[in-house]
Amino acid sequence: MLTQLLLAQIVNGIVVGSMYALFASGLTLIWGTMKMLNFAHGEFFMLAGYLVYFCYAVLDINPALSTVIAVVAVFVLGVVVERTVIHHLLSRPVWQFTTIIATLGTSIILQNLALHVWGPEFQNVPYFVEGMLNVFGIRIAYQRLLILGVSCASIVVLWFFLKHTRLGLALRATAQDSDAAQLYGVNILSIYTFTFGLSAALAALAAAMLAPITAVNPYMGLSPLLKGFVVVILGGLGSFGGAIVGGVLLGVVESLGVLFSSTEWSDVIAFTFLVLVIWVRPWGLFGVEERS
Amino acid sequence: MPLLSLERISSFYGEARALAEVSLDVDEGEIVAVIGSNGAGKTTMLRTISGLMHPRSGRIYFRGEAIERTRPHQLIRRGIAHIPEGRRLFAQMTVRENLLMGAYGAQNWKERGALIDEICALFPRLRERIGQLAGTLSGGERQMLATARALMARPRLLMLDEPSLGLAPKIVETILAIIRDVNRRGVAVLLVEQNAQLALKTAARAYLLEGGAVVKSGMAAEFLADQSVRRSYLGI
Repeated sequence: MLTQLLLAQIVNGIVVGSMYALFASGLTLIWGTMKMLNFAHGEFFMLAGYLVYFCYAVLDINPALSTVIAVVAVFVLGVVVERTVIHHLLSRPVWQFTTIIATLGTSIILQNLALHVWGPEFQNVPYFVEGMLNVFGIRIAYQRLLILGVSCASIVVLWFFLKHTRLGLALRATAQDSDAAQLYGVNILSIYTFTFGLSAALAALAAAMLAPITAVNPYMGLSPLLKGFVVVILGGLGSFGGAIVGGVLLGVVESLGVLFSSTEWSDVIAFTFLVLVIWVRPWGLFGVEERS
Repeated sequence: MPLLSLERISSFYGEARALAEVSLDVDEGEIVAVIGSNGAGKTTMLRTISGLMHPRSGRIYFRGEAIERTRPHQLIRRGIAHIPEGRRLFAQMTVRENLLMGAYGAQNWKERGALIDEICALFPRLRERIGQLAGTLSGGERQMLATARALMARPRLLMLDEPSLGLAPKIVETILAIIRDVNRRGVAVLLVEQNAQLALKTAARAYLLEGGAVVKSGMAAEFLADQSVRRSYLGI
């Protein structure tokens, strides 16, 4: 009985963690290439949640298409935000700080816009697929398996993109040395815009998959943002692999943690775990130790 | 008409002037050396030519077109390849990926496979290391890779910033032999070096920078014969 419970919690942790991974890989991509933090990442997540809600729950468009609509729309929004709010700051002094304020401002505006237009109510989104799978005496909703499948597939696609395409190569080159990337023909300003859009799209994908489990509301982006930062630091800032492993690890730790305490403690568990890890490895699990 | 021509270029870091009205020419197919002590403005000059910095005043012409406001990613397409100080390889990428970055421009990208084969014939050592991360290479191999990456872009002008830095004399010889070989194939070379002896032996013409200004220019042989240059820069 106890082993079944443990097993079920581990599976759940992996499922939720895979979404943390997706969400956090967007944050880490932005940090890695643009060396900035994006505090509006949670709002891209939230807006995608609403888009899925309207497409799927209200207009009854099929869930796959609804997800595609949400992801594409949020990608475009990410590009627009980068071009209008971030772009002109990047070539100016103290952009490290101005971009924080700019993304924080974007976050507040988008959140309040959502609150004003759609109200504070929680909107429920039905499961994309009904039913449960029974294995080894544990029951897993097909929706959760779907989440796991989608996140694994997108991580593979993303990895392939970064590793084997010309644009992916340019993105990694920019992340490693933006001056050298420019010298060899990369228009880094375009790379920044694209990275921002891609990152927003990853948040959107996570939101679309999680919407049926968490319900949609204007503040839904806050918790994933905090978790996202935990994951990014846990895995090592800017490390794509670190974000994936860190995300899954955090999901599992949290879901095992609630066995011994209540769900309200999940944030406490997350941050305690983070503090313990960076105590031992200040550069994160997959980050590179900085030497002076 | 020279291939590259700087006309009274002044560059600043904030309010500090790093280049003071520098004028310099590089002709098609020649090797030009720029020597000078640390902080004389040599690196700033290359950064200004390749568009990483824009000059506050003066003009730069490359093949007759003004380029002083052009961004670096466009200049490599026009034929200027700059191997920056410290090589600046993509350390977390493989040797192959670093070479591919050299062929990033659309035209070269289409022929990337053939280009890699061609370059590896020039640097057999890199072929052996093709799947290795650039960060794990030895100093000599890194300079070879940096040079190979630049040549992948099929430049008209190759600019090197301190290629001898931190390398054993024997490896420096290998690198210089490659540079001369590349030059014989019609690529002009602008060689910036603190090791003046080395630079003057490789180049036909030279410029001496001091405090951001050109204080002497002429044939490399004249430099080698000049008493004050010998005392200050050649340690003879």
